[in-house]
Amino acid sequence: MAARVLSRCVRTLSRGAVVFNRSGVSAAAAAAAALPLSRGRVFSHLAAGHKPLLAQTLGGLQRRSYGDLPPLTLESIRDRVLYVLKLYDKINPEQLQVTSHFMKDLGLDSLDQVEIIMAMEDEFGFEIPDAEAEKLMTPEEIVQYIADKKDVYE
Amino acid sequence: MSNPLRGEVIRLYKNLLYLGREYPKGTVYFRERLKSAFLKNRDVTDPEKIRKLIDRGEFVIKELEALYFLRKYRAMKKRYYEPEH
Amino acid sequence: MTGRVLVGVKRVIDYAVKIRVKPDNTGVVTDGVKHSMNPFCEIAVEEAVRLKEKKLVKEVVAVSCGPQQAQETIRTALAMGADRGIHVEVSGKDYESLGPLQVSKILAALAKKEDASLVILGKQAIDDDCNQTGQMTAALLDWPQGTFASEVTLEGDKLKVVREIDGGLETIKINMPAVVTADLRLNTPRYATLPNIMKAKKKKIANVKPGDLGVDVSSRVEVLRVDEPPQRQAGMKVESVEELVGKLKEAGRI
Repeated sequence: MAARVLSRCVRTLSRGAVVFNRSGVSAAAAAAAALPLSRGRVFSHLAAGHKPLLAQTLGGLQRRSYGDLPPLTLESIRDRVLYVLKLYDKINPEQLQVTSHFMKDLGLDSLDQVEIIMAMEDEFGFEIPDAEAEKLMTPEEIVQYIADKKDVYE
Repeated sequence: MSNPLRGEVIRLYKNLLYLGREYPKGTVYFRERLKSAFLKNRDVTDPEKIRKLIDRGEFVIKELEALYFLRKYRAMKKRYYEPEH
Repeated sequence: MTGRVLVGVKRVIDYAVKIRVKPDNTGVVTDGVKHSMNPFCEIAVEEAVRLKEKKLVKEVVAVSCGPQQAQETIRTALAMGADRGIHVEVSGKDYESLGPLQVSKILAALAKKEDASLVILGKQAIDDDCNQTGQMTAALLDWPQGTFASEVTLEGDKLKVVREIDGGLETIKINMPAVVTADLRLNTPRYATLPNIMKAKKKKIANVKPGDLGVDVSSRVEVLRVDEPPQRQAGMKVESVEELVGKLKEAGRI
């Protein structure tokens, strides 16, 4: 029966958040294996336990369905973009404005910006190509980009 | 912003971040280490070195996929194919 | 032969999640719990995709029955290489009582509608552990079945299936169209990577209702109650043979 209670690897999406942050990864910042000891703690719910806003507002049964749900408006896009950003623990919700620059105003680095874009892709259910993604540096630019892609006009 | 490998590095970061959602020790644990691993090499500019680091990242992806498969396979085997103790 | 394979995929609570029974014993807690594709369905998808990669079939269609979220499971199948999806929308009370018989009726109707030459399913789902859908689908279609497959080979319009049976293997040859259910050792399913998930967003998922297929999903099964398995009692350590014998006597075992 469904109550087969077996699991040795329970995943804990811990919600603790110690923020340690530094800005400006150089353009050439490169990759490495995910192993070395970390000094800073860079926690976030983005791209992790975060569920798209629609899922939360509509609760249980309904989740994202691109297209069959009420049409997007500039306002609903803006709300969802800001909601996702407010969930990101490296952003202080009080500092967040639609015009805030992720790096200059909010002190994020380019890897954080990648995480933000990923969370937006999750929230809106489509891919943002790298070349476009790296130009999106404010909530407003993201809203505009999504609106353009989804043919939403005021 | 003009390094031609930048796009690849970002793609690698995204792919790893995505895989980290299923990491047994937790997404948060994974993300922390992933980010510091990338930051450690933030000043690398030699394309050859970057290339090598990307390859290493790709290798980690393969390892993670294998780890996840094995973990699931073992759980299924234990649950359905081994007699109860 | 149309060379079309229908693969059933079920969205279940993730295998690594610790299942909790609702306090009122009506079922298990599903809200806010991680879900993913049933592991045996992943194996079924992988097998279908491999047949397509070997150019033995032309198209792989992934089907899932359930509420809106079932689309995510279909999306995973598409990311693994299925060509398109069919979401059979079942929600609310109908979803709660959806069982193997109802799903079989849906799959049988779709297999006919899509003119499939092969239906591949997981042998069972890790949530209800029914192990009936494949068998029932074959019966409803009156097609041959190769259940618990650990190896599948297409030979013209016939199918050779190696089956996992108690203590060994059985090799059978059946006519197509047929229904196959995947066992654990059939293959190693590929990971649905992020780039492939993204690409899969461009693939089509058709939405149908059971009624469109002429299927009545009402169920005659009533779940009376759901209980957790009994907890294993903690053991104890004994220092000597004497103590062991004493304890065993105490427990009335000897």
